[in-house]
Amino acid sequence: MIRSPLARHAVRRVALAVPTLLGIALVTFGLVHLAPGDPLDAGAAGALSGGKRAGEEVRRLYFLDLPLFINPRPRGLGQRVERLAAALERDGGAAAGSVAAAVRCGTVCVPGLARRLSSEGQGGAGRGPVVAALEAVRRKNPAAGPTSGDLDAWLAALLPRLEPSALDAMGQRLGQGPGDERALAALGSAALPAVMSAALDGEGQRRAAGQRVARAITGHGGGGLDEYWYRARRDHVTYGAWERAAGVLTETRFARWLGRLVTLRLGHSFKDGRPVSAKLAEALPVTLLLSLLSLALAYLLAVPLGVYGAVRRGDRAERALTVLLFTLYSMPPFWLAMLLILVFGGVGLLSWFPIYGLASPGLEQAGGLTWLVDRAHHLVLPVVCLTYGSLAVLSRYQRSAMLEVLEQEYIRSARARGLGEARVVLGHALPNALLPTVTLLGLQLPYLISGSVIIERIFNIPGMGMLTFQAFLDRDYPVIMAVSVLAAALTLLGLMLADLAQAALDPRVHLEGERS
Amino acid sequence: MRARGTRRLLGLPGGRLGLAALGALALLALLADLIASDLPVALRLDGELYLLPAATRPAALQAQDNQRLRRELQPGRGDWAVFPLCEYGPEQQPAILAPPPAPPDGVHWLGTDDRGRDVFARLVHGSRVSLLVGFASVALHLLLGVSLGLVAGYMGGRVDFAISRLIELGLTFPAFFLILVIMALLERGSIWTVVLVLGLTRWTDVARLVRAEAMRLRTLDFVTAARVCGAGPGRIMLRHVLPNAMGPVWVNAAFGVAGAVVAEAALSFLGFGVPPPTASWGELLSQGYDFPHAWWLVLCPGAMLFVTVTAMNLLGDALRDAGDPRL
Repeated sequence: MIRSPLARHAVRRVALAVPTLLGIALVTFGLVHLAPGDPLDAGAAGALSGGKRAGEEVRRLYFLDLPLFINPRPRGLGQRVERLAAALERDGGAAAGSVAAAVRCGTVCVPGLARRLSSEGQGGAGRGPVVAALEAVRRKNPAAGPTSGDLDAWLAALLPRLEPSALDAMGQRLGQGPGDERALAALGSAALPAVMSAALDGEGQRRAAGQRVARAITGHGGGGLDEYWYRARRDHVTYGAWERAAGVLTETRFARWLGRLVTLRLGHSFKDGRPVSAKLAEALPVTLLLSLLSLALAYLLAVPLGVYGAVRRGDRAERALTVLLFTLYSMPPFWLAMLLILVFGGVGLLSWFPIYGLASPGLEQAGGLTWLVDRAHHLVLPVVCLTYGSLAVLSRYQRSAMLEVLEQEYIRSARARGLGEARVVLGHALPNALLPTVTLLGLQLPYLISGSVIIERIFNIPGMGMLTFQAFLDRDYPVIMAVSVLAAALTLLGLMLADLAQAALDPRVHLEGERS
Repeated sequence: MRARGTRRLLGLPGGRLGLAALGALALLALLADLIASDLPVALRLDGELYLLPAATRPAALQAQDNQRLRRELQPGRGDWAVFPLCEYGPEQQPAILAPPPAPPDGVHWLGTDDRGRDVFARLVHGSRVSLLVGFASVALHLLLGVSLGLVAGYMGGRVDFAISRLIELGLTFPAFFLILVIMALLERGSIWTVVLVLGLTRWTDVARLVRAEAMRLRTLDFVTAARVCGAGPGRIMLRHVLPNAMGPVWVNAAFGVAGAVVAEAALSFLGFGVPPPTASWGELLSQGYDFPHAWWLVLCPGAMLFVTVTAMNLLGDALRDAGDPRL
């Protein structure tokens, strides 16, 4: 199909990333959920100390009521009604809890409860509680029928209107006139499946009408209807055989979390309730600025240093440089950061550079040159700390690659043709010697991301590293999970780019992939 | 061949220097209780002889320390003691002379930390944590990496595909990130958790190396010859492929120890490492961060880390050069 071997290699590479991404999600999810003592539970309860109700909502928000990976009995509406009826019978109608649950469930439970009622017969012992629950639902939904009088008559009038086919028909007509809109809103939670299909999948008028009705029924104010339905659908829909079978795998905590991740709904921080995506959007540019700056700097310095090291191999200056780079290579970055602070940061000898944050107080919003100078001033020390490690590694690679190339025949023949030394080194040797160094680009990414945690913490820079560190301290699980997946995905991207760059630059690489 | 390799290693100045530094560090870690301790190396008190009480912690000496013993020993009664080089233990909080952290002086050679504990003693005992974590975690990651890489490279096919995905997964997660996540989630870590987590997250490079070597070796004649002789895959892998694939692994292991030592220090620096009050270089450095003027809390543990990492890197370089036939 695809002719170019390079393109085929690229496709293969991207396809192989899919299981890896799935693995990343699995590891992250497993880490958080299999840690001792249900940490999500504790974190949620601690974060939202709004009583039991709020805790229950958080549990549902993170699907904590679902099994982890395999759900032997996926629950739809049918089971919800069954459980409700069982609770009603157990409580005997005395406790308000199960009746309140029925009210929360609303009209969507009415057909199921009505069936229960008729199967009990006239004098059945379980009748009382079910009747009490139905009466409560009836009072809560005055628009669905008369709130007083004979319950059987109310049911007889309501049940045909709650048939899925009738509801779907009305849902299809939404947006064509106010009649169906009013009628669906009157029916309450039972109408949600039909209404949501209009609100989320419909077009134009139908969509707008669907959203109006959905808000009226759920009392859900602002946006996020799709997120609401993502959580609530299983409470309103009776699963068919196929959906029940698939539900064994999809109605699980992992699958639901994964679904949310794939659609980039990352949830809210336990700490301050802000959307995780907003926090990431603030932090990521800062870290990218730092990493890209230091990566660019590392390459700009490492390549000439490596070439110099190879060309002047063995002379005194070169040996000194090698020792210096080796020393740098052995320096733990956080130690160097603290030494720099000690020397330049105003606590010890000199006070040349600020050591706190990215901007001086009062200059965060300053414009133009002032801002730029201030920002650059703040970036010096952190960028140095992030750069020197990569610099030492890259220049070593560059040097040995250059040495290898300089020994090859074609270099000797270039020299034999009488080319100048500069021409030989820069024009003939360097392009080939750059290859291994360039492919290291992707491998520097994980290093920089990991390094940013400690460097950003030391210099108080509000980037991904700082966000991560703070999330670890606060056990802010939504943030931890999002950050881990993001870091891993970025790294995977870097590895893939490195691989493709290598394949594009070196024709031998993708030939190897052809065999399999 | 092995003997020649060792000789070549010792013939390289970097190898000699690295081995010497590593030997000194190992001695420091092994003899930590003799070098810095709150109790004497040997002691005769009230007619009772104690050998290395710092290590055995006899109940009779529970309330004792070197400073008190110096006052209370009565040579006339036959009491005597051999005191360690540094008379403070790593977790001992002696009577405070200056508000902690105090700079170096004649009593505390490298100063004290935020609780008045002797920095020299903590450095000496911290070497145990660093070296133990460094070597034990590398042993674990070698075991994992070598066996997975060997099986993947020699077996090929589906096994290789599955293990390769696992390797890619491990490579993709920034290891330090993963370590942090795990350490943050495990509420009560011990030094062995750090070893376990480091070992389980850093095996991918070794696995890739061994896999590539095994793939190359299995096509060679001597492996085919072994197969013809009727050797099973297990025997071929262990007896024929493995010994020939180990060269680059040792180089990687040396660098791996350096990396693990730094990773442990970084974890402890961030507060997710070995639990207090265990002495660790990273923990001392984090105090240096909290007390910016306390330069001795920055310089001393950092220098120890630097020496350890340099020794391992020198050794790694020397191992590579020793194994390189072109040199």
